[in-house]
Amino acid sequence: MKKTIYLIVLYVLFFPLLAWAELLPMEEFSLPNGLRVIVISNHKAPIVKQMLWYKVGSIDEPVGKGGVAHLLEHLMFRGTKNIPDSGFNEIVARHGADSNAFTSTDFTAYHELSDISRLEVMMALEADRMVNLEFEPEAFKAERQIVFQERKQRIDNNPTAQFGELLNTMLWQKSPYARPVTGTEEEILNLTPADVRSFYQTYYSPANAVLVLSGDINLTEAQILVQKYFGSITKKTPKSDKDDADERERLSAGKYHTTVQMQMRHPEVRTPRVVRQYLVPSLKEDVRKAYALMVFAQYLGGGDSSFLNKELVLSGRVAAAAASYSLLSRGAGVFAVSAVPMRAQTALKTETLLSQAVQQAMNALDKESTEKEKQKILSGLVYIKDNPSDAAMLVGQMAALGFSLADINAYEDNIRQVTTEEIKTIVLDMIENAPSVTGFLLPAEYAATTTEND
Amino acid sequence: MFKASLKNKWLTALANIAVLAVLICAVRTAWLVYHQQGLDVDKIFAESMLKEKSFTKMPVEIKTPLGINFWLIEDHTVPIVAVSFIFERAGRAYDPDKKTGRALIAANMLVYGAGSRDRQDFQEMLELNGIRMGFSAGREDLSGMVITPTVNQSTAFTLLRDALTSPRFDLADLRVEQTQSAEALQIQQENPSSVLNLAFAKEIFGAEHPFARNPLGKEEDIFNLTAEDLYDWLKSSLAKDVLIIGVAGDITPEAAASAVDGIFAALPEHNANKDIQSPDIKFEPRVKHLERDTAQTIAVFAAAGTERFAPDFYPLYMANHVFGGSGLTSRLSLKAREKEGLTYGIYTYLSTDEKTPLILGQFSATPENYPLLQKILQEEWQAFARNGLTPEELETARNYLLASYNLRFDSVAGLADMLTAMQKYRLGLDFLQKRNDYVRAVTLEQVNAAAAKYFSVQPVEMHIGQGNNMAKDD
Repeated sequence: MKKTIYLIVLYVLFFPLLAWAELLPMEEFSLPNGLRVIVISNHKAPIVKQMLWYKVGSIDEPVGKGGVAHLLEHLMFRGTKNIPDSGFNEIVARHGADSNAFTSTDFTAYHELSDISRLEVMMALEADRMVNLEFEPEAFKAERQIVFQERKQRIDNNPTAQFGELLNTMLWQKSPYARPVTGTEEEILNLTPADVRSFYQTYYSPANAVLVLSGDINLTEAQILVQKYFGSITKKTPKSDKDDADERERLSAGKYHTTVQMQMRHPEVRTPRVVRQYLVPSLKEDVRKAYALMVFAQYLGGGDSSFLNKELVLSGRVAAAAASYSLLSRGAGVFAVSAVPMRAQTALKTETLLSQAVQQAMNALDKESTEKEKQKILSGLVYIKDNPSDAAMLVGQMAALGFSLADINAYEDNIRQVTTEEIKTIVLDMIENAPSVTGFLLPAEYAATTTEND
Repeated sequence: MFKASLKNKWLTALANIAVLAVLICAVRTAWLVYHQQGLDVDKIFAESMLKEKSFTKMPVEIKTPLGINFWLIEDHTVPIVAVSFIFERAGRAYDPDKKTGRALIAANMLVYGAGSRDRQDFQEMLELNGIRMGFSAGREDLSGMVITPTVNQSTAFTLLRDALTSPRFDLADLRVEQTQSAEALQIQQENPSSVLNLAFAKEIFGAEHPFARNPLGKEEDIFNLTAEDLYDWLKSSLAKDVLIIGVAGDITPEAAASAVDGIFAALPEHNANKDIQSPDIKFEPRVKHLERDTAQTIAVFAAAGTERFAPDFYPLYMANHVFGGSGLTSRLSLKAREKEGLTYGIYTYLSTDEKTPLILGQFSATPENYPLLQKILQEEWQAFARNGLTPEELETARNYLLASYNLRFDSVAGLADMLTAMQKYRLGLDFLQKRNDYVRAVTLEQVNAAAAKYFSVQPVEMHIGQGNNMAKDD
């Protein structure tokens, strides 16, 4: 009784706060087998996005088995005990759903956007392939060739993608994040069906997954359906559910404290690019610092009125500049700045300008500009309520990192609480101490180190 | 003995029957269990708890007090409003010779300051209010969009009006834009796909036709552009007689009408650009090669297609869906990707523009696979013209189109864009109510007639890569 009154008082006290602080109308439940389910209601149209996130990605691959997470993702479309061969794709097509999947360093996600009347079919298919994967040897061979061709198409046909891969290797050094998500050519071509099956057995299970249902569905409906299709799947202790400290140790690259500079020349490159990436705390590692860095990224390079654009581009000192911060990782986050030099200028000079601008931005930041940048982020949050797929993407990623719904819904509060001092502290630490890589992508004949009068 | 024996025999027989019965039962149970474990997808769908619903918010046509027509879908579920619009005859192809790049740069610069606000003020106003505004110079149309939180709509509409009617085109901003366009031209040359597509447009439309121009313009033209050129574009292009508007989201018809008047009423009445003649496309089959040191050979191809409002649009659309349009389940994908693993992707799609109705396609693969893919494409193309679709393929395509109907309603911006597209392609205000009937009415004869008509001639193909190892054309 006392407790109830206490709760009511709390509710009354905090209700206005909660009302504006809610990012999305979400609820969650878990099955006894460990599957975590999040329901995001959006009743605009009779459609629903189903997204099944497995907390496994390329950083979990055994050494030498690069690309196995990605190849497995492909093979998940190549048959189960119940739906052999291309049956999955045929059923999805017949039911008008848009289905796809992706593999990243941290996660593997499968998703279907469908009419609500087809959700149950999609759910049956997704539950089925969580446990019943069974592909033919021919399908395996074909799919291994397909991922090989995918790597050729995405990376080898594109000098900037090759540059990105090199930067990544040097930034992360010995961390599993240094390896390409696709695996190397050699690794891909040597993967076996046994490699894929073993990875599947180890990591694909209800307790290592988060299911997001976003759209025209409510909690009760979701509970009935998820129980019906996923409820009978046996509980399995997930391998990746290890001690957080161990996981951090394994993924950490910060311990190397390296600062790397590199140049890549390529005959097809026509105009130089300069990129610097820093390893910084991710949202998982430090919530306060992550939100501070998010606001700083917005201030530095978040839009046309950003500091880099004003100081470097609109003033005619570099041709283009940008900043970004990727924070939704199980390991460290990456803060990146980049620029394209003016034609009359060397890449080296541009790199100096870029470094100075980051420092100046930090120095120039005051309470007024901090509040403005926070306002810019906050005023756009409403859009996450629009497209059910966008909501499923953001929430799924955060939930797969282990954040609670309260954590996710506190997005707005967390932005509001960021102070100028917090930003300055973390940015100074980044500039002075963070492991980093500075890369120059250059035309084959380019003289990057030419001195100039300036 | 005899009796006993007889009895025994009888008993044995009975026992046998019983055993048999038990066996039959067991097999039957096993069969049932097996099939219960299997997935009866049709049954799951038929007994599905969540039943079909229709999206009930249908578009209405509104004439504003100042006489502008627009379409609206009112939907108050999310507190945002989107206004999508197209100005026809305002796109890149209407740039005069020597002024290529004009529409693209002008469109980009519409959000770089207007009226009393310079670029910084204007952009900061958008960002602080969570307003997303952008313009895009397409081949023939200028399209634009503003999306705003409902609470900031009046600011959004004022800024959009200013962008369309009193953009600043400040010299310093023009210089930045010219520099960035020139850099984009360089970066374009780094990408084998872009190089291929530029050359292919020339091959298809003819080198001199405006549709064959580089979308970014020529470097010398870009650097010669002046603010006056941009104002010429504005005055001659953004007029009410070529304007199409779609509004969607958290806004009433009255508020929407007043917003549309406020934004667009001050624009000139008439667009002054002379209509561009359709290109004279020669569809004689041929294969062209561009030499370049790439990891994969990339190929694009084109054949004659049909317009969006032509009577055979749906038959061809469904035929293409089966042939190469449906992703992993298309004939091309099943044969070239799923079965053989020759490519990461091979697909076809329709360009339904009135002036260039085309079937277009693309694939890429390492050089040794290229001839095999080209052979598959040629053989499948020919077989499709000759034999058409199976009834099952048509039903799968039909089911896909019917069942995916509601997916188009996923975002407010998407709704507004859909409304402009419906008007541009003259689909009618009741298109959404009729669309599934159009799909249901398509017969196998119609689809096969479309396949026979449009796939009878092999496509024009161009590829870029190392060595000219094309398959023999025999």
